[in-house]
Amino acid sequence: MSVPALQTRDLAIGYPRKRKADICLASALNLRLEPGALVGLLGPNGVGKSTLLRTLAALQAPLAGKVLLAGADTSRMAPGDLAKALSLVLTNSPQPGLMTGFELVALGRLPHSDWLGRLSEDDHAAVNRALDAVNAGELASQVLRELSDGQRQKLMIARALAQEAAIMLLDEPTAFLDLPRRVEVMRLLKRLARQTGRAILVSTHDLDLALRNCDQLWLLREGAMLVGAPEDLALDGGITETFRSEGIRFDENSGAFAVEKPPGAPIQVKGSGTRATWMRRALERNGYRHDAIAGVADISLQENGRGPEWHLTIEGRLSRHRSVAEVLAALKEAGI
Amino acid sequence: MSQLAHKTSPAPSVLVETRGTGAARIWSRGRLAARASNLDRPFVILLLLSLALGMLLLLSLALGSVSIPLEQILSALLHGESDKAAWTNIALKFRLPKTLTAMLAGMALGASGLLMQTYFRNPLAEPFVLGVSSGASLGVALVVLTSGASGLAMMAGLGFAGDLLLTTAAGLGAGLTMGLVLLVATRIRSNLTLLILGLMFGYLVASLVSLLLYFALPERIQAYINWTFGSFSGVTLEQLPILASFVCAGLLIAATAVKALNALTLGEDYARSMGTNLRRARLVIVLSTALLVSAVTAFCGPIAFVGIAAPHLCRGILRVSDHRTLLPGACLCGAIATVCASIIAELPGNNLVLPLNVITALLGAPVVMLVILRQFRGRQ
Repeated sequence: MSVPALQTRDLAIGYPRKRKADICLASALNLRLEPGALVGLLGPNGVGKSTLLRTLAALQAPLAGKVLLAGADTSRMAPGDLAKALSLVLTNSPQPGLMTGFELVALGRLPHSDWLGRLSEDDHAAVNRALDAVNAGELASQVLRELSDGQRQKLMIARALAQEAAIMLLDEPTAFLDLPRRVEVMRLLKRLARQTGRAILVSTHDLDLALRNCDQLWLLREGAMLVGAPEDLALDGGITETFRSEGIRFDENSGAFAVEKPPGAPIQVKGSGTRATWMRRALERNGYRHDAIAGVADISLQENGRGPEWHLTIEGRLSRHRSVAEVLAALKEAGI
Repeated sequence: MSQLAHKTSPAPSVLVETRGTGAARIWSRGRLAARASNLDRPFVILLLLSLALGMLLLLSLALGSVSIPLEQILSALLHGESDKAAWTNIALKFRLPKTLTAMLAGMALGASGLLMQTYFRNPLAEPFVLGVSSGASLGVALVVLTSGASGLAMMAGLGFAGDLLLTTAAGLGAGLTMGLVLLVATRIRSNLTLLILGLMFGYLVASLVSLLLYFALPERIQAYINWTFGSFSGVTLEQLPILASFVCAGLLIAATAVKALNALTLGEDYARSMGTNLRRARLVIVLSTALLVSAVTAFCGPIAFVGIAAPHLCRGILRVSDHRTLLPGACLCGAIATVCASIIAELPGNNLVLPLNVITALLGAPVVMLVILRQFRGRQ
């Protein structure tokens, strides 16, 4: 078996307090990060994801146990050596306005440079490689304050890459980004793990993206950690357990969260395809229950000369509608 | 912005052809070959700032209640004599120490202001936030406001002995505070704590000084207020090496912090993740600032405004965030500001002398406003 890039031994994370019992968020953690793998860290708010990442990055001391980087205890490593072994990306990207993209990424070379932080030829090459790896070559000469959140976060990831550490930890790097940017960042991380052989741990709230991209999930809940392939955790109920809360549950069939509501009036939607799917979602959103066999009303999609048309049948009476909204209005009018 | 950089980029090669000094040649070979041309802009600006400072230094020697021709100043400087013995005397004995003091104070305040603004990641931070100058003012207030009749008589004479007493009092106050700040700096976790403690210490001292002022005699209050106006004239040629060595030591220590300062622009967590030893960086930055500020405050009084303005001016002009460039830039901007203020305070051709601190803010604030506004306009 290969040497893990990062390993914890009976790690306990939390905050020490004076004259009171420590706040312990999780204990007896024995985790492994393997080279070349993208691992997603998930869990409800306040469960200690950030604390775990900060502890792994040696930004705060563990309550008990050890963090080992390629076998070396982080608590005994000099800051410079630590920076060569582990890089970090945080949620909010700082905005040092006057800096260019290149200069930001070049900061990642600080652990490798001399006392003045001068860049050598090698450093320049490493910065350019990192910029290319995240497809941000065109941002190199731009000033940071003129960039979007997504572009800045990309540069922060490039900066972590330029650090050339075997491990990269990211604490909710996509929290402030829109959906396409979130997809882009997760795909980028997956590709980087494969291509550069880095061990990448990313904490995120985006379960769907984590399921699609991560090689392994760490599910943190109430002091315990579940580890496994995303699909195994979905099948054995680990994800359902982790995110169990009032009125919302993880639906193993769709692989997404569903809102739990007391079952409403059953309605049958005939047919399949995109339009039928969206009609079912509209019904679910409004508290109706989809029933595949029979309902107090049934809806079918008909094609006529002018385009698709919804046919709604309530107690034998048929009405025709052009849009989902019209169907919903008709249902409400009929008192269903 | 890139357009601007492009426009100025041919400058270095012209410079090398026409002047061809050794330093410029070495620089051009190293930098021009390795880097994109827009990175050369800051170097050219630093060079221009140095030239401006050099001219201001000469002007400062030439201008005053008596104007001395520039060539006479040069002859006095180079050969130790000029057409009139009085001119040589004025230039070398009075204006030279004053000018050099102004330059050293400006460099110290500019550099320490930059350190504080970067370290606290706060554009409003200034050299005095650590409370060192508050300590100095308390020392001076104690001496001036509570000393016996003999002390007052000495002060009234305003001889060098009186100045020396003030310098010693301010130096003691600043030194003790500096020790306190360093002690605190080694014990706390967050830099915000240091900022707030420094501010609170400042308020505490201000109210103590107010209390002393409340019970003091009017003429003693006047003596204290005169000190708070700041002055570059109190340093003799003999005392100058002391000030110079403190400033040099402070600047050298600051230079060892440029890498940490660059890392700190992204915040403490990132700085640490990029290999910065935060505890050591904090000590180096606080020690350097405390040395610079206590020396300047002891010899010149609390020089306001330069420490907060010079870093803004320097960033506005240089438009970089690399402290290898910003640190010398802040020194130059600070020195230009203080030497300018010192010239203007003398009101050339007139016997009147204005309080220094009036000049620094009155003329400096509009300049900084212009620079900042220009910076924000570029944003649209």
